[in-house]
Amino acid sequence: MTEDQDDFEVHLDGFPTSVGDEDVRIRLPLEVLLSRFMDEQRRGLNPSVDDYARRFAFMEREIREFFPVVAAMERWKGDTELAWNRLPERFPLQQLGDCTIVREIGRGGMGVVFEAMQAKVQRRVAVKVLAWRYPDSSRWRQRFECEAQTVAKLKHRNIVSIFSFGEQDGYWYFVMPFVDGVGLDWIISRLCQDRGVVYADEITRRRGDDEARGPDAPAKTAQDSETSDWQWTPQLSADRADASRSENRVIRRDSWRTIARIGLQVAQSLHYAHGQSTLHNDIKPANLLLDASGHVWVTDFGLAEPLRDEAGEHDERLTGTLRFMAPERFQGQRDARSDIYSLGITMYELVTRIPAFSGNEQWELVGEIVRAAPDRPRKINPDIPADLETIILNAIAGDPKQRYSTAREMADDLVRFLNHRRIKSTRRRTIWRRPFRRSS
Amino acid sequence: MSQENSDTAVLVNRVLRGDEQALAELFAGYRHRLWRMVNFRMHHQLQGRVDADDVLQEAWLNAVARIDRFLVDASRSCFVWFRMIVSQTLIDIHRRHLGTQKRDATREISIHGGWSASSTSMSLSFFLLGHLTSPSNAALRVELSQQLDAALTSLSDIDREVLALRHFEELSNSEAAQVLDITEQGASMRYLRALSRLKNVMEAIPGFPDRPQSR
Repeated sequence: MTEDQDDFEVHLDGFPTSVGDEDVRIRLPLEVLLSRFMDEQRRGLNPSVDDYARRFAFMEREIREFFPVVAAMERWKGDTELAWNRLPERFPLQQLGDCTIVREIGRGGMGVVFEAMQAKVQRRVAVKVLAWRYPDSSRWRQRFECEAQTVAKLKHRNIVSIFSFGEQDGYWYFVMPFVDGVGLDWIISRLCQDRGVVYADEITRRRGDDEARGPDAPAKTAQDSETSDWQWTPQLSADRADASRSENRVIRRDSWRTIARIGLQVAQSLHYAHGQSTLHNDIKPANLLLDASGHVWVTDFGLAEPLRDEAGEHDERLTGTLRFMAPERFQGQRDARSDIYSLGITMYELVTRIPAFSGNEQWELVGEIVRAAPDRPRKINPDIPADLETIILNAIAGDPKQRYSTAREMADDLVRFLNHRRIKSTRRRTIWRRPFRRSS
Repeated sequence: MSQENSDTAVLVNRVLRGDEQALAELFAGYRHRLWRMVNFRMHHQLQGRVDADDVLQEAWLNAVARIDRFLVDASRSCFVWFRMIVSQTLIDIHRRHLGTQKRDATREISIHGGWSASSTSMSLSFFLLGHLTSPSNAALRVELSQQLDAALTSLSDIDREVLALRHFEELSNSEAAQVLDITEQGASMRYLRALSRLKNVMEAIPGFPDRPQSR
């Protein structure tokens, strides 16, 4: 912390001694410790509050009070640095590695997704470019590589894996299979409209989009993308739906079995990922892509972190989207059942077409999630099969212990439902707080 | 660290002899920290219009123009000197782009005059919120941002500023002291006080994550 003056060049003819030297004596001891702690954290050393508290026992109380605040500030800063490099309206990119960029297909806070061609192997790929360019890149490089490795390890037919990743001109990117599908958020909004039917060729967005917007069309601005996540927005108009295409239909408002099949595929992919010690952490409609054949692709494992918890401190980053977030995550806890919950809420919105929690204000919403008492789906629409409702309620119980304990159990029940067999879970009614009836 | 310092000293000596190349090397060494500062200080209306790299490029030209002042102005810390130049450049750019609100723009960027409450705290709460909701959730973010805004506004300007300097610009205590033109001891105390206030704010917000366990 203090440098000897001897370290300076002898010929320092202009400046007085010890430039930028910090005089530790006159600083408050706690602040000195905090600075050291901050510095270690910035260098990725993962300093432990307990360690400090032990080593500097005479300041233990202050250390325990202040260090977590500093740790939290630093983490927040790190997370939000991502938002700094606001997405330029147009990326000056034609070529990334061996991928030739064709057009932009989606945007989110973390980056932009392009459709691209990989010339050597002649395949269509999606390239997710992280939206920041950062001279001091070590911090993000680490996170990026970690993310890439997590996803690369996952091989499942319902998970959008990655082929490769790399860096060019300060832009980092993943190369992923191109999924010709749309986000379930888009599906839900379509089901809310007029006839409430989605046709297969609407999902094959490529053609429709190409007509509407050539590769040179200006990309959407960052401001546009603030309002929704990855946007997979096929260009279409309502009148394109006509009766002759009814066999072409992928999903309808009352396609309960299709919805169950969607849930099943996601549950299976979660079961697999959990088995690989990976949580998704951000299951929500926008991260689930449906293709024209009804196949579901779970994407954006960007927020996935290894299941095993580092001992000691919480490193909870509430990065998922609030509305789909399990209540325990507000207490800094999460496990496989938190993903199951998020899937349950997603299915809830699919069957009811309304948000499970409707609070407009942040605190309202958090309160509703924690109280965990949304209307039963069948109260909103009595046509929903009782067993499907039970499965959903089972997934979204406020208390994790009341939920399916594994994604496998949920998948099994969905299979039973699809096979017209009795589902196993029956306990669910208890979670819905009703006036307790004394008379029996 | 000492290696770094002696390297810096060699460069400083060259700059004092008017070596522009040495000034460029010094500047490059601080570039990422200055870049961070520009991003943090940029008025929200300029974001997306002005690129941090362009600001730094312009600031670099200003630094070259002032190389004669280096001996006097940069004697305490080269970094703080560069930071001051970048800050002034940023003010000019704000004026240029937000012409009609010239006075506001100037006020918001000035370091000693204090940011207008809204500018720093908006940026701060933006930081604080970043992890809470996905960036897409602008509406929710604004909601919480307002709450934090109110909370952060209750801090004094200098407390808010010292938090920004130490955390978001990653200045050392000594650098923060120089920027704020107070003693190191004063900066040290200011920082702890501001942190303590922030801690109380965080504890008061229900459901706020990363809340330190209350004793």
